[in-house]
Amino acid sequence: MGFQDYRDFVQWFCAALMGVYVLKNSYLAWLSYVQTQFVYHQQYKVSRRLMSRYLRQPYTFYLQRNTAEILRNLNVEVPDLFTEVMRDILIILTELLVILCVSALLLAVEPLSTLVAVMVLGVSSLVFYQLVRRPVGRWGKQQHYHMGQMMQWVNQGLGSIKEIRVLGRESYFLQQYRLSAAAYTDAMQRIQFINKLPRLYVETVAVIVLLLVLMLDLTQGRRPRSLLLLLSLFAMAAFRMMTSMNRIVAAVSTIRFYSHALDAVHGDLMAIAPGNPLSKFRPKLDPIGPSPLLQHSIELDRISYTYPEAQSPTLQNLSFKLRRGEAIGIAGPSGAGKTTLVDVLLGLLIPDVGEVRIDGEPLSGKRAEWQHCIGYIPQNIYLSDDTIRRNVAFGLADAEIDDAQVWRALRLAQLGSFTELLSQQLDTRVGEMGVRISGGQRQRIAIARALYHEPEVLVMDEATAALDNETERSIVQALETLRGEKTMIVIAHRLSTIRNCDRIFWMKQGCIAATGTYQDLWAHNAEFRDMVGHAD
Amino acid sequence: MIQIFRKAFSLLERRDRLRLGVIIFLMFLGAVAETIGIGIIPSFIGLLGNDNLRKTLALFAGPMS
Repeated sequence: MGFQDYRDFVQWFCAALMGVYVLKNSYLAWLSYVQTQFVYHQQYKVSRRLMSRYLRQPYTFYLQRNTAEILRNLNVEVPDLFTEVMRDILIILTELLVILCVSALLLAVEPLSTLVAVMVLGVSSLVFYQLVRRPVGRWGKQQHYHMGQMMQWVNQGLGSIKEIRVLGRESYFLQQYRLSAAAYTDAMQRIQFINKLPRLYVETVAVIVLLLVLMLDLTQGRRPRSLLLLLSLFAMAAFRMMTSMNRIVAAVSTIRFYSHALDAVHGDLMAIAPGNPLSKFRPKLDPIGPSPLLQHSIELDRISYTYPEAQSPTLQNLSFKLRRGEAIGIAGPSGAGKTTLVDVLLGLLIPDVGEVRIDGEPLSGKRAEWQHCIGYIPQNIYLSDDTIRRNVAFGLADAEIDDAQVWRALRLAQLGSFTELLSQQLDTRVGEMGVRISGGQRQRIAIARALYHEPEVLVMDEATAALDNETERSIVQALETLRGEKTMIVIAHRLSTIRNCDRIFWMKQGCIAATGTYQDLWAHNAEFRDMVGHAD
Repeated sequence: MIQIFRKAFSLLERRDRLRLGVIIFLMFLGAVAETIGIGIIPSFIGLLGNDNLRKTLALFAGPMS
């Protein structure tokens, strides 16, 4: 090697040692980067998959699930799953490999002492794990449950702030939030404490093990110099293995604590299988323009529907045929099944018995195309905290929005002159849930949104309920201009909205009790007459 | 714990499971590197205190110095 003397050798060896450490730690830093990248990339992929599944569920799914729960799964549980569970699984694997390799080295050098050390360390870690396993799991569930409760109370409290303020119920919501927050922080405090214990526990065990090795070797009559070398090797190994054991024990308790996140995400990803007929990807459809789907008629043939977990059916043996261009009104007392009927027509609910047919073809095969040719105007519209333009052309990218079409829809909805007077016109923001505009204007944005796509069929579910008489009249007039051109299905409590419909179905207890024009029903149906009397 | 591991891996797509396999192999190399790091210092100390090595080096270095 060309060493000049002993000092030269030591210098060269030191330089080599430095090189080894720089290389080793550079490699480990790169490995850490690869692991972190893997974990966060998986987090991104799973949250995207979960969001996609949630968006493509049958309508009944949303009736049964709490929004706060879905929000928590997406925004809290998925990050927890990857930053806590998945990352810690990788930590456990890494540290187990380190322990395995270091133990192999120690076994090669000193088999007996190594076996004793590994056994003591292993058994003591197992004891620690067994002691904390159950309480940590329990605290994890507590944290998970109360996190959901906290979100729910925030949603409910802020979502109905007007009623809460008027009724003076702030203290009730605060108290409910406080109870959940206290239980949540209690669980977090306990787990944080438990997470600090492994270091102290493992350090104590490691020192005991090291001293046991020393005592064992002394009893074997080793020379002090070789004992010193052995001890330095064991000390180095113990230092590293102590870190490994510490990280493993902490990771195991963290994984148990956050295992509810895994259960929640895994449960929803697996239970909400992509094979579900309603969860398939929708075909890319033209954002504007009518679908040629409906040529002749919509037919409901002996439809019955019962909501999950409901005792009795909401719709019973319901049949009727609706011609293209016809306008029908659906009226009836609350709970008669009007909205359920519309949800079946929209393809949101699949009937238990019977079939919906479009031009004689079953709806089941072309649900997405059918929904694309419907303009739906609900009673309560969801407005995003965005501009009028984006709220009307809801769910379209800016590049896909046709401003002329937005203006046309706004004018049809009697909102054109109002928007023209605004300084920022289509760029005016409506605020969260449309708080910066009136109830009537919010509802007219809903109508404009439905008309933007030039739908073939217009479905209005109590769409004019929130409007004043004059606005309602002007909207009815506007919709009148679409008569014959569009097929209209109108649910209304306010019977003036459906006065001009070609036919009105009077619904009662999930069945069509009577059919006819407004005048027919007025003449022959006492309940209808009674309702007209109340409403008008 | 095994169930948790299984459940977690079942969330990964096939291609990502393969990627994870590669990462675990890299982790094994990392563990070997760690072990070398642990073993090399005591070996160095051992060499420093080794009289035979000192004598051998002195033997080779002697005629040159």
